[in-house]
Amino acid sequence: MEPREAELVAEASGGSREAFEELVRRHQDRVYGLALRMLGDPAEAEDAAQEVFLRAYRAIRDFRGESALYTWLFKVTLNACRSRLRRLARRRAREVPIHAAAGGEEEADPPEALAASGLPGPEESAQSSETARRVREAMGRLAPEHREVVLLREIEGLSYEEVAGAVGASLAAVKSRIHRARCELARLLEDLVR
Amino acid sequence: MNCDRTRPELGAYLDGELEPEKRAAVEAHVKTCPSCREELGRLRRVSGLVKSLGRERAPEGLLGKVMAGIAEEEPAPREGGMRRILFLRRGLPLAGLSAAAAAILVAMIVFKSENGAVPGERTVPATPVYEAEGEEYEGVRQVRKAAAPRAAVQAPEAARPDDALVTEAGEAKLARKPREFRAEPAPSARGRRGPRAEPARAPLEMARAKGATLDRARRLAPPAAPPAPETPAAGILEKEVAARPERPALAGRARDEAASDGRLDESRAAGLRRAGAVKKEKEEEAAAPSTPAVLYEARKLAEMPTKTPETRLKRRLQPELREEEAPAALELVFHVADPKRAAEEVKALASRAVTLEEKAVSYRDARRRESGEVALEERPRAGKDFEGVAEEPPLTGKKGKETAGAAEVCVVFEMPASRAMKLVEELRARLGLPHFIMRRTKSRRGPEGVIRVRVRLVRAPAPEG
Repeated sequence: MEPREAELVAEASGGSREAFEELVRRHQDRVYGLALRMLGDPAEAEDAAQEVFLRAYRAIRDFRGESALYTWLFKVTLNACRSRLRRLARRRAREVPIHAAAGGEEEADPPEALAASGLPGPEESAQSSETARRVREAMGRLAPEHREVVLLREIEGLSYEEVAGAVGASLAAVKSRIHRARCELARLLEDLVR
Repeated sequence: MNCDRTRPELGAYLDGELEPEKRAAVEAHVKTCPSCREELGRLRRVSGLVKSLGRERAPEGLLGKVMAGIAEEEPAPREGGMRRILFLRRGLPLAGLSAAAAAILVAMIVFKSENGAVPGERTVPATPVYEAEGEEYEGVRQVRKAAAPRAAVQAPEAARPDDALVTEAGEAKLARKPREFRAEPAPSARGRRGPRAEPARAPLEMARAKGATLDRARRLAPPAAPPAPETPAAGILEKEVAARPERPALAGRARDEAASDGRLDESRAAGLRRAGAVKKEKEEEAAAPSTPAVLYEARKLAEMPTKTPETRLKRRLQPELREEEAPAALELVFHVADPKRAAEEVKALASRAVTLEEKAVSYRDARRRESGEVALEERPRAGKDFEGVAEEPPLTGKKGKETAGAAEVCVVFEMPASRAMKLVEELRARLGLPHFIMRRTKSRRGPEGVIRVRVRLVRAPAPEG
C-alpha cells in the first residue's frame, strides 16, 4: 500500500468524501473486475461494486490497516458476491419451472450461464477472443469458492496469505483450492493446455 | 518424494508459495518424473490462460454512482460533523471513551410473511389498548398457537396510538412514549445525559410516527410492545451512550434534514394513501374519533426528516416485506464496552420477547469477523434457531461457552414484528448508530407473524492509539 493510501484512509475515516472518492477511483477496477468475474453479469457486478463501496464507506472507520485496503475490499466484495449468487440461485430455483412451463427461453440468471454467456472482454483481439471466451466459460463453471481464489491469485496477483485473508479461509485450504481449481480448469480446457 | 505427494504441491510450487525445503523436494522430483513435469506444464498453461484474461475496467459511471449513493445516504455535506466526532473519539483519548466504546451488537431480524394467517373472529376493540400492551405479546403467542386470525393481528393496531397516530390521544401518547422506553439513568449519568437525550428523542418520535405508514410489518403484526422495564443495569450503557458525542450530532442532523428536506417521495405518498385507506376503514369499524387521520399523517410526514436512520431502515425493509414468502433478516451493529453486560441490557429491553438462545463466542471467533464486514459471512443456521421455540414462555436459551470475558455474546429472540421494530429503535436510541445490513433467509420454520431477532454483541479490540 502506497503511503498516500494510508493517509486517504485516515481522511476518509474522518469523514472526507474527497479522500474516499479517491480511494474508490483507485480500487474500482479491482472491485468491479472481481465482482464481474464472480457474478458473470455486468449489471449485477456494477450493483455489487456500488454496494461494496457504500459498505466500505460506512465501515471505513473499522478498517484498521492490518491488511492492505484492497484485501479488505476484496473481502467485502466477495461477501457481496456470495449473497448475490445465493439470491440468483434462489431466483433461478423459483423461476426456472415457470420459464419451463411457459416454454420460454430461460433467462440468463444462473451465474454459470451468465459467466458462460461470453462477457465482453477488455482487450479482445480477434485471434484470442475464442480462447478468452473458453477460459471465461470454464471459470464460470468452477464452484464459487474455487473461482474466487483463482481470480484473486491469477488476476489480482495476491499471495496465498492475502487470498486466505480475503476469502476467510486457512492457508492450507487456499492452497488446496487453488490447486484443485486449476486442475478442474485444465480438465475443462483440455485441448488448450495440452 | 513420490508423485502422490508431489502433485498437490505443484500449484503452490508454481506460485512460489512453498517453503524452501519442500520446494527443493518438488523440484528434485519433477526433474526425474516426466508425468509430474507434464502436470506442472499443464498447470502453468492454465495459470497463463487465466492471467491472460486480465482485469476488467470498471464502467465509466461507477464512481459517480457510488458517490451519489453516499450523498443520498448522508445528504448533508457537513455530515463530516458526525464522522469527524467519531474520528476524534477514536483518535484522541477523549476521557477514556474510546476505550469504553468497543463492542459490536448485531441484531438480526427475520420477518415472516403474514400469509399463513387464518381469518378469525376476534373483534376490533373500540378503545385504545395501549395500557394493556403488556399483555399483548401473550396474545401473539396465542395467535400463533391457535393459528389465530389476521383480524386479531390487525385489530389492536387501529387503536394503538404510537403506531397508528390516528387520534388526538395518539398524539399525546407519542409525546409520552419515549420516556417510558428509557430506563431511568443512573443518578451519576443523569446530569450529563439530560440535555442530550432531549434532542435525540425528536427523530425517534418522528420516525415512530412515520412507521405507521411505512412499516407493513407493524401494520399487520400484532402490537406487542410493552415499555421496557427499568433495570438497574440500564444505567451503565446509558452512561456510555450519554457521553458519546455523536448522538446530539445525529439528532441535530436529523432536525436539519427535517427542515431542509420535507418533501414526500412517491412511494411514501403511496404508502400514505394506502395506510390512509386502511385507517379509514378501521375508523369506521371502530368508531374512532373523527380526527382526519390522513391529513394528520400528511402534516406529520411533511415535517419529518426523510433520512433518519429509522427511515432508511424502513425503506430498506419495505421491498423485502412486500415480497411474498420473503422473510428478511436485518443486522445492526453497535459499539458498547462489555458484551456480557450489554447482553443483559438487551434482554431487559426485549424483556417480553422469548429468548431462544444465548451463547458466548471466543475472542478468536469474534476477531475473525471483525476485520471485514461484520457478520456478513454469518448465515443464520436455517431452522436451528427456531428449534425448541417456546410454546410456554419464558424460554431462556442455553448458555454458550466462555460466557465470562467473552468477546461476543449472541442472543436470539423471537417476537412480534412491531415489537421487533421497537426494539431496534430502542437499541438505536440507547447504543448509537449501527450499521444496517439486510439479509433475507429462507427459513420458514418460525411461526407466522413472529420475527426472529439475533442480537450479537461483540467486543472489538481496543481502538488503536
